[in-house]
Amino acid sequence: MNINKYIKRQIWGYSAMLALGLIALLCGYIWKFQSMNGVAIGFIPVGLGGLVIMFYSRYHPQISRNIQAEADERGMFIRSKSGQTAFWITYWWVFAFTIFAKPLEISMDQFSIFTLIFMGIIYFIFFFINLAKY
Amino acid sequence: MQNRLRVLRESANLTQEDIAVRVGVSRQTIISLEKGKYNPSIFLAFKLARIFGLTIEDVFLFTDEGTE
Repeated sequence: MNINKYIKRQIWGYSAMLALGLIALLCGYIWKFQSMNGVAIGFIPVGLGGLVIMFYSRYHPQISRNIQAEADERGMFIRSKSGQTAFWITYWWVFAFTIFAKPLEISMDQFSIFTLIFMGIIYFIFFFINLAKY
Repeated sequence: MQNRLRVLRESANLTQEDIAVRVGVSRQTIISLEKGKYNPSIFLAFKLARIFGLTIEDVFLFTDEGTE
């Protein structure tokens, strides 16, 4: 794997995430479209954090080496497995929401924010489980 | 899947880091392979076997266990 190409691709990806987050924030602010705030909360920190790490790695070979190591096939396997598990758990979470949303009086924007946070937590829990397992 | 990676590495006087750098993976991946916790892709298996000048079958011992 060419690490420079990989970092360049990651920078594009994180920039797109940051741009989407900022657009969502702007939409939420201008048109008072509140559910967009959840999208912004999800995308902006991830995009910004990823960009900082990628730019920092350009001047620090050790970080660049760590990124390369994390992107190896075992790392990809663990991430993909954790992502798949997080997806299916979130799928059932959404299913449960459709049943309990009305009696619990949960709004759509509250639900969006909860779901983004919930999916992230589930992903990282399974990431660490799989890291120990494989 | 069992393998002879540790034995071969030690007899070649190589460290886990050496192997990891040569095949382009993390040291953690080599540790995991040696413990038999992770099964490599066919590409990684080829690269590893090539380091020792052996075939895949000489390094990795295929058993039916865990394939279902």
